[in-house]
Amino acid sequence: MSVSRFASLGRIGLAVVASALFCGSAAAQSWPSKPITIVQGFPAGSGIDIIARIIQEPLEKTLGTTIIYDYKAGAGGNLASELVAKAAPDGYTYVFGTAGTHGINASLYKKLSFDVEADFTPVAPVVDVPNVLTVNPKVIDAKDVKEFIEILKKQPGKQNYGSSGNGASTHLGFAQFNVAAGIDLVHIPYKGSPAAIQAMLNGETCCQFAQLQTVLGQHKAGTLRLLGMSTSKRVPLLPEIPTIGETLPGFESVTWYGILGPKGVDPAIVAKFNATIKTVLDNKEIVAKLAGIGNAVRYETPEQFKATIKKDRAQWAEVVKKSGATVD
Amino acid sequence: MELFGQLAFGFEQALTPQNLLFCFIGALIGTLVGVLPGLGPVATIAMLLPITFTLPPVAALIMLAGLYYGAQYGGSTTAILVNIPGESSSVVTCLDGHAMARRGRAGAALAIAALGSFFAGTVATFIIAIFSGPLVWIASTFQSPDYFGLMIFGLIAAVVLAQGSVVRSIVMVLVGLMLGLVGTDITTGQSRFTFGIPQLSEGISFVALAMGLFGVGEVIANLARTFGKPEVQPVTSLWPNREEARRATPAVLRGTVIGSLLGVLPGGGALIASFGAYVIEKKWSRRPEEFGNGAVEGVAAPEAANNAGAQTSFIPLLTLGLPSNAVMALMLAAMTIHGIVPGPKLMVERPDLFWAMIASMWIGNLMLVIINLPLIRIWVMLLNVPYRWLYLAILVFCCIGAYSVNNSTFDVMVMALFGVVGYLLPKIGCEPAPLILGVILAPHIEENFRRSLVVSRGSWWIFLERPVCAGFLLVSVLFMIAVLLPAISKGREEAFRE
Repeated sequence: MSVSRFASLGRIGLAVVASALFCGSAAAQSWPSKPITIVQGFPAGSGIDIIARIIQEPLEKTLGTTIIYDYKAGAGGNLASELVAKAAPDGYTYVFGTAGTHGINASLYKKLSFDVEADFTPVAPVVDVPNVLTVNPKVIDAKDVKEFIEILKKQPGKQNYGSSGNGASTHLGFAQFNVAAGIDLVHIPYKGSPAAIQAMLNGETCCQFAQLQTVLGQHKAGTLRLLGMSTSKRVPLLPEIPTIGETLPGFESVTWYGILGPKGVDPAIVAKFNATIKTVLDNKEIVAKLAGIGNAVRYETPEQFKATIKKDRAQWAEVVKKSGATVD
Repeated sequence: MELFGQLAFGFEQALTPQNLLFCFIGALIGTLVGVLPGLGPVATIAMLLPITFTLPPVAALIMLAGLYYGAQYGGSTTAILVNIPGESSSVVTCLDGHAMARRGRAGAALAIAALGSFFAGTVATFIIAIFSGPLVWIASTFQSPDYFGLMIFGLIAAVVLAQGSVVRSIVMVLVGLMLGLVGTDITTGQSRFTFGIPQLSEGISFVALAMGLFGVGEVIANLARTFGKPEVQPVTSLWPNREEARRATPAVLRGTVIGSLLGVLPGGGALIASFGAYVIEKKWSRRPEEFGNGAVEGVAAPEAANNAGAQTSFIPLLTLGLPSNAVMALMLAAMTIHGIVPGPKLMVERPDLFWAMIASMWIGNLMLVIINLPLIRIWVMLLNVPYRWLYLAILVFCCIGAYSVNNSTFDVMVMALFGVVGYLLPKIGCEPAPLILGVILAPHIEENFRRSLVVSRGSWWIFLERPVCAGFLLVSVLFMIAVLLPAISKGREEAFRE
């Protein structure tokens, strides 16, 4: 091959690279030019949807485009993750991930067709969601975590706990609690938190870890009793509810919700989306709204968010191993 | 009164310009497909499913609901004026409605049908509003085995009450259940029955399946038969005379009651309601010899009944999540598309949607009276639409619709395949309606079945230990035995022949 030919090939290559770069930044500049789809792995009305609805309008206003929530419930959120992992990284398709879908599921499900780290572009987390140990007092009349553990120790394998799906943080959080408290309950997965809470209300399950915002109404009505928070400190919204850690020292199980795109989204778009989310999360009104249902804002840069997912994945793998949780 | 507060809230939602518009569009399209023979509401709703993706859920559901009861109005127009049922539930209206038209009383028959329908629709709206609350309360005590029993009962009852051979219908339900299980196992994430075809990993697209089975299938079936040039009876005065009004009023009342009851039953809906009302009206009449020769009651009762039945068949769907007929199965699919789970939680979580739908039914009925009575001549002109162009348009529309759901040519192929299936099934005496019920209920039945067994730690007795579930299963078995007994099955055949 002659030198000049090689050089011209090189020029073409450069031109291709340059135009690709140019296109990329041009796309980022005009982003968003059409509605953005964010897929949720749980049905409408679930814990994640409540948060998604709160940030929808301010996000739309700041971005200047519509946000469409697409509900693809099933397999602990894996159906939604798979869909987005295989979607085009054009900056218009994202998934609302959780510590469950992008931390727990990686070790809980043996055969995932995607990798929770390699196949996604983390954009930003949105909130920290406390799980709360909730019981139906008609099934188990326990006043606090201590009494709850005592009652259940006397009937191993008898009672059921519900969750919003296999691999959801409400599932693994309780599995972790089972191990820590030395009790034995059977796990019953439901499709999303509305169905799970309905089952707890009619006595099919006795109790569950619930995302705080999903049981506030029942707590006020007195039909469900909140025994303990899974956070390390008490939640400012309900300071009278102790943490589980006050009974079982060191116990903590928190979940986050955050937005991720498929692998290969233009970093300029990611930066722009991340900045938009930051603006929304800085909004005092939004902070107050989220706090009003017991959630704390959680903002991170894309790099920090990536590190969080890596850390959580390893941490939850440990929990899955210890608790012996499986998908059944 | 809490009820009036809730209804007022519903009207507030339903009277927004957007929802009014979609209510009107639904009523208009419904009248259109009702008037046109050979194109029913099931096919049309199936074809419109992909469009509802882009609409707000409330508007979409209001439109589809309007289409269903709108078709009941339109169907009677063709039945009375041309003696062809524009829609299957107006078959019986042909008998006396057309006889009235030949006697020069076409206008009166149309007015009685429309006003009777409006009255029935108004009553049915209140029935839904009143009975949904208590039903939701009962349903919220249902545990997994109870839901399993309820759905099995729903399927069996749908089979027993539907026309045609029970054995064949059961086969159709089973085929539907199997088709509904294709795709990813919801609890373990494993692929099932996909034969390695990646497009099947999310299951067979319900939209493509329904459009093929009902939309494409009906087009093929219609091409196979020929409609002669319709001979339209002229429309005279729209006002019934005093004698006609006097005879129609009690018949409308009876029709409304019968239709409302038959609509709520699984397998019920407009079709059974109109047949049931006609048979009872004829049996009770002091002048049975007039039936078939233009008896006013023979128009008033079934027309009121089919509209009442069309509306009350929403009750089991909205409160229990149980679709009672093919149209309701499609409504369930439309809700699922928008992530709405029909059932006891619907009323609590989406009161806006629940009450807006109910209020829109009344508004839609009012619109339909206006669309249908003064504008009757326009609808009659539509009967001259050249079908070869209409069918072409429908097929193109179906293809675009099936493709647009997932941007997938595979779904278009699925639709084409089920189009052929939908054409062939009636040829061998099988109805596609039980199949579609099986498809839509399969994942729910499986979920509740498996969960029940986890709760019971593997013991099958749980289905008999829960009284609600045991009750449903027992009634299902009794239904099956009853139908298979020769004496009763003979009577059932006769009832349908009438």
